[in-house]
Amino acid sequence: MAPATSTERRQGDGAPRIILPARLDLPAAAPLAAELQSHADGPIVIDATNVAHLGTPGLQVLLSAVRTWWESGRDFSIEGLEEDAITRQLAIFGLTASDFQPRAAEG
Amino acid sequence: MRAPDPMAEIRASFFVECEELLESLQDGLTAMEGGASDSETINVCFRAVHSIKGGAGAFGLDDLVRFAHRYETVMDEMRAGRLSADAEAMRLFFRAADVLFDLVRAARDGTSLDEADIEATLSELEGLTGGSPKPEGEAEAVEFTPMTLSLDLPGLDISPDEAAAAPGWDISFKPERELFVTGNEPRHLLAALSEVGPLETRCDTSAVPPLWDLDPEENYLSWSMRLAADVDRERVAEIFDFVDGVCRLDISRCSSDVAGATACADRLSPDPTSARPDPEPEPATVPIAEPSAPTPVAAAGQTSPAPASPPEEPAKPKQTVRVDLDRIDRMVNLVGELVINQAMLTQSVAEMGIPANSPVSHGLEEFMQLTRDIQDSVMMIRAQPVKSLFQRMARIVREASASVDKRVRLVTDGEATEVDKTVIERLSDPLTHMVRNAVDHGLESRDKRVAAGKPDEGVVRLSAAHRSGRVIIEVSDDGAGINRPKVKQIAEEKGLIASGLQLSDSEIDNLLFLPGFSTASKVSDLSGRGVGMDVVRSSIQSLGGRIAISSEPGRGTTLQISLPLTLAVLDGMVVRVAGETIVVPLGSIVETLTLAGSEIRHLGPRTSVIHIRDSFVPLLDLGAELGYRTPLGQYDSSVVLLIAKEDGSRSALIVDEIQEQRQVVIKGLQESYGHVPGIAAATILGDGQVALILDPVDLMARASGATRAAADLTIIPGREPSAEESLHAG
Repeated sequence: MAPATSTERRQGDGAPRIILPARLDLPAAAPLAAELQSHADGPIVIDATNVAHLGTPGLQVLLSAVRTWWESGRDFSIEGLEEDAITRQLAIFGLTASDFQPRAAEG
Repeated sequence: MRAPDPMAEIRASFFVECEELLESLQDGLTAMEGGASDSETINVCFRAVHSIKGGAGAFGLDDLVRFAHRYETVMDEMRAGRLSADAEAMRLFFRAADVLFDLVRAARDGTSLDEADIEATLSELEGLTGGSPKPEGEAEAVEFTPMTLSLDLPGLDISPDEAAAAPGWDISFKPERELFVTGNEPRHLLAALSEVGPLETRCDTSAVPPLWDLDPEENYLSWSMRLAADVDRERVAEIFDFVDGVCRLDISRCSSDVAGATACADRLSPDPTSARPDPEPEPATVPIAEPSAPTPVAAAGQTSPAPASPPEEPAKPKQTVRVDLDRIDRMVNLVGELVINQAMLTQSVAEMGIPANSPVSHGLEEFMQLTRDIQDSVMMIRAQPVKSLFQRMARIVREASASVDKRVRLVTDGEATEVDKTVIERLSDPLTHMVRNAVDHGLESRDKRVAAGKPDEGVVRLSAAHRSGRVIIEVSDDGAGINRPKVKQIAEEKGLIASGLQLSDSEIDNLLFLPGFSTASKVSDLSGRGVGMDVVRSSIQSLGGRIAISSEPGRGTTLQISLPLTLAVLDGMVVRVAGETIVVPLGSIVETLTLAGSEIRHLGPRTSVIHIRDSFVPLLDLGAELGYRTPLGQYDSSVVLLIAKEDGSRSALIVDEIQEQRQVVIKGLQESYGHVPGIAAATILGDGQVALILDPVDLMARASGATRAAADLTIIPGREPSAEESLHAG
């Protein structure tokens, strides 16, 4: 059973807003990758506020998304990474919120 | 098929790992108690506790971490040679190991333990070193804190070369795909590593592809880390024990050479500053503390006394795979079907009249052999040594002897004997009770022992062995033996038997198995747990096992459990009786013979015995016992199966015809029909016919009570229910 990823349309530019599930682990990774890919032709907003458990597979999908959008030059933003719970999890991996900015992904 | 929750899976595998670690801890402590004082033995114990602590930390099991930490700190004193492994120390170490075991169980089952007990054990333990350790547990238990305290406590034992080689390790770690597939998660490893000491972590994300090239189950990340802690390589390596073989791991030492400091940093990341062109505003997110000590590498200067990378790799443990028990059971079942299928094939071939020397027959023979080999192999997968069970009993002995103030030594034998896993699990409770009984009731008090000229330390012996296709487990003590007059008196007082009966020794011994029997005139907090030997007996019987008791005054008591090796297949003899096909377990048949009229002696109006080589054996007509027919009365030239119980008593079963000997697959009847007297189970024969599998001992017991008068009691030495029934009858 894959945890649900929910999508909302943002009012202004119509960019979909992907709300990440609380557990971003191996079972959640593939559905999330598919979901993100289906929106790859436009701008996107990812909301990570709810993420309580970030596993490596989920992390990779997010990093891959960063790269995908950076390469296509479309608008990409990921929100909620500055929350304490997520920062701490990223720190375990040796990452910070800046690693999810498209320009950082290049380096 | 993927497990729905890898986290739950890794957690479960941590607890399995814990069991193994606790086992090696017990082994180590036992070796130390036996006089092994080499550093490796102590290290084994230390590592076991330490690994449990590490894993527990990754799961936020704070109680477990705290306890393990304080335990290992005391153990470290012993490692450093500042604490000797005397009897008192060993007693406390064992007790702490017991508490650790309980804590692991509690963490696994989500229960909690009495804090006071734990604290009491810890303070006694720490009393050994005369000081309480640093209050480290708190900080250490927090999973997310990357900036954990270092373990390089002042009291820690650091070998000279390690000290010179301070301050830490370079670790490069790249998981492979299988790491995820096996339910592991790098995050936990990184978190565990950060608990060892200040850790700087760099994640290389450059290999992560765009979404359309991404395989969510593949790994694209790699990490390089520097751990600034004075720990030995083993401590670092053991964190990655879980993922041995499913990642690329390189652990090399940073030397303390000041000149090489930048080189070491360089190795971590070619250009640490440019990798992060946009430093995060929040300081909390900046990866792990910079090491306080200068850092270094041998690459620049050759002054370092320590090699940059110690060549010695830890010995590879035996490779194992953890498999869901259900899968094995499915396979056991399938193999069972294969056996049936093969039997059917054999039968068809026989019916076709194909000669025995034809290629078909040869091929079939090989097929049979293969089937049997497969079956054995499958059964072996389920088999486990009884060692873990025996270790649990060691603890029972320790606790039981302490609470009744007896000195008891547990001697175990045959720990490597393998038994079906289910049997081992279900044996734990009855065996616990038997061991407690041995300590509490079996062994005399110290004074009495000394008065009887025995050493004041009692011995409880636990042994396991394979004997004729069954497993025999014995619990014996060197106590006073069963006080038979007292047992008989109690049974009379409780109305379990009529008073004034003449009973044989073995019959009296078997009274202990009667429901409602308890010899303890004062109920001690040990044995008085509302569980009697009758419950022990029924749990053994539910495993297809039997229990027998024997005792010698002044020398002790032995309880013997005999269990089937497997609960799935059986070697049986297929017989016909009254037109029915019955399978008799081969293990219970001593011999088969054809009766001569002169061997039959009548005993009373309804019963007969046969005379075989200077002994008399009661004769049972199987057809009559199972209710297929009335007794024939005339048994001259009948075919007889001589059946023996574990205690050596025998009966002669009359059957009409012996058909063949073959392996049958046991199909339980319990679920559908409940317990059928005299019948153990059923099977499907080669022709698709269902045949009942006899339970000869049950049949013997019931036969002597139900369809025959009690007259043969004088010949068959005590069979529990028969004694009981005839006693009631009398």
